[in-house]
Amino acid sequence: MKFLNYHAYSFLLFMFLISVLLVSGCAKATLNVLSPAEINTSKIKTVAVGNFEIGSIILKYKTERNGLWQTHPVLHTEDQKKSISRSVRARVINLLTATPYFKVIFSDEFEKLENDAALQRLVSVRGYKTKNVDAVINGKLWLEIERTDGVDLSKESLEYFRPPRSRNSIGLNLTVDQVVWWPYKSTSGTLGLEMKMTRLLPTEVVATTFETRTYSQRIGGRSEESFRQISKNFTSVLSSTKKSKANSIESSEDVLPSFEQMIADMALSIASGFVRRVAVTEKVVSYPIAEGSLPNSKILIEAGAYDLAIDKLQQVTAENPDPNDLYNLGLCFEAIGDYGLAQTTYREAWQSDPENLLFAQGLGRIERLRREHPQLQRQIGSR
Amino acid sequence: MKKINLNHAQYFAALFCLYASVFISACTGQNISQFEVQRPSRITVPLEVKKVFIRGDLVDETNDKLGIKNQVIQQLADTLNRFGRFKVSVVNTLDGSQFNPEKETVAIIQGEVISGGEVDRGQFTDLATCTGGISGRLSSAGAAAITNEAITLDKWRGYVCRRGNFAGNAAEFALSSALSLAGLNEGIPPKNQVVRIYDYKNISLFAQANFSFNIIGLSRETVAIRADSASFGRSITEKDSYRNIKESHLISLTLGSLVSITRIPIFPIPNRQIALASRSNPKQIFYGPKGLASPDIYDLLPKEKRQVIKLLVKRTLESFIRTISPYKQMVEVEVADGGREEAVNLLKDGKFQKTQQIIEAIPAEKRESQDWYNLGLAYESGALSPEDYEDARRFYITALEKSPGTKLYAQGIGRTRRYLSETKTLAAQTQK
Repeated sequence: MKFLNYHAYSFLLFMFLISVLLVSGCAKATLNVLSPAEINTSKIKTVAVGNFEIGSIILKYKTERNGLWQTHPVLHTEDQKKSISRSVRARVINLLTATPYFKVIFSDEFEKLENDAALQRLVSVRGYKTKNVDAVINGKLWLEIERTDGVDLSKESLEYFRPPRSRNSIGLNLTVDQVVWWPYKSTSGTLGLEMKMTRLLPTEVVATTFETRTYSQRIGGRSEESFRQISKNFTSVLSSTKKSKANSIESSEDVLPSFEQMIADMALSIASGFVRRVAVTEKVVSYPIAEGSLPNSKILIEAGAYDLAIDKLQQVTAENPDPNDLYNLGLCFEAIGDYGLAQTTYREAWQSDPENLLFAQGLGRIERLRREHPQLQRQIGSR
Repeated sequence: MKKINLNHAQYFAALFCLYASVFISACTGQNISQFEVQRPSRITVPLEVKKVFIRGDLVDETNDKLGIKNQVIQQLADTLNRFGRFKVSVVNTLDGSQFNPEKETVAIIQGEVISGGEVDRGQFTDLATCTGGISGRLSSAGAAAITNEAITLDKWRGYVCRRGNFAGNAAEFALSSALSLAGLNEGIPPKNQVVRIYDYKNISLFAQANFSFNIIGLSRETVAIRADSASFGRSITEKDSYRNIKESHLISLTLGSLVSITRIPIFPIPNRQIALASRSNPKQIFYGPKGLASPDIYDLLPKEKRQVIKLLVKRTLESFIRTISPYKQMVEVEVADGGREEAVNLLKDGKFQKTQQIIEAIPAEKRESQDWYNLGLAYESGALSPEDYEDARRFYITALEKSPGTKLYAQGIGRTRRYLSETKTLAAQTQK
């Protein structure tokens, strides 16, 4: 009886909301962490970004009514296609320059190289070196995006409920079956991007990648469930990206993104994987803060006042080495990049309470960071 | 005295109201002080670069469908000039009359502006639940009004129909419980479900700027490149367009007197066509060969469209500007309630020096933690040198020592730590 359970349902949702609010209230420290490049590019300092060649660009509108499909391609001029290519290329450069690891050259000379073969010819010329460029990044893209205006068809059971009117009446609860059309709009797109980093002297490809990203979104239609199923089919073949809302001045889940927005989001997603392979990257991470004995330590760490928190925590742990305070002290050392002291302090906390998952996680994290540290130091030191 | 018995629903309604009042009181009534802080740019442009030319002729507009190129360029020049690091001009050519290539190192900004917009119209179907009874109708209509949901009335008995969502259902539950407390609840209300159709219009705008910052001196060097975009999306559901096209009572009205047991299998009915909600199939095709139109004055009023585009342009340029030039950032910080009340009001009005004078006139031993914090805030807000941030930090620490566990004071310490760590970079970028 759907209607009769309504109060219980509302109450459960209400309690769930309260729980979510309570859980989200846990204090966390936000840290910036550097990650080393996956491959050794420490000898490459200056990188020129070449042309991003166009494999194919297909944009189309599709409509479906009563099982009949119609397709309308969106025609692009050569200039418009080049603009899409430049846009993808610019997103790659955004990420490459986000961490000051490579000096990136964006010269016309490289931009005007028509294709990969031309680049190969250029770099194979013996002794060629332009403005001390160590390597060139170039790419090739394949893009297909479609927008669909279609209709789902389903049988619905509409309910009619009349409560009992007297003690002798048991009320009425009927269902009426109805076939209903559910119009929907959807967009789906796939970007395939091949990227290559070629060292000039000696000429060799140091990193190459081909990745695809799929984006799909649907509005209207039968229900969330039907969409999820369709989305799953897409993502089971290709990895998907989430819609970027980072720079939206007003947004709605019910508005499909423009072609340009989809291209930008997918390009950024692929480029981030490539950049992680070839360059030192920075990421922001959040770790929980322990409930220590010092009332101010938690809020100081949360606010990013690590120096003062370290002073206070060192004083308090010298007198009374509470494992929660020691963990918080380790977290502060980790935040300011003093991994040696962080490891020592996390270990002390963990030895006092080996069953505590938080302390073990801190220790595990710092051991991994220290393993990466020499590699990271070499890479940063090479700049 | 009549004993009041609360049932579960009433108890939960009271709990809900209590929660709502706590939530609302926590989110309102804060005193906020606003001030600007200078932040360093992401890269340090050589100090000899003082003149910057934005080359209009080298900014591609092939895909600028909204025609915002000039606005983007002008906004970029104005903002950079406001921050004072560069003297920026918009030009279409560059020759010896604008700078001395033998003596000066200048920078050129070039790139591309991409923009577009579309209006996507269509018709959707939804399933709504209609509620009868006096309190049912009132609480359903009230919930719809609170959550801005579209309602329709069923044609049979004027039940109030709405789609329902979490907020709406919670509001209906609270209203229904309130009516019950007032003695207006006649028990469980009758309900039915209807199929509805409605029209919608989705408006989207997009802007992207790809710019590079090139230094022209003894050699040409590109020191910064960025591509940033911003978007706007609004879905407008036309509330007047909601129509009930199938209501479940139509059948029950015919067969109702024969039925008194739940879940009687009424279907399959002899003629399938009767069960087809044919009006839910839109006749119009919305994606034609011409694609989608751009928003016109009927979709976005000219004034609003100008404002939206202005915001899009601002947001699109933000990262590029922050990459090449030290910039000013607006900060909103809470003022501590308590202590010297006059100081609180002065801080809210942006009178930082006067605040300093007033609090510093109080003997240190008589200052409350709020006074120390507000003094720190006054120094931070009117900071002209790193020493001001050092002082602010000192006062925040004193406030926290006097009132341990106060998050607001710790936030002040964290903020000033960040500014102090940036001062060296900022000094290198802004040396005259």
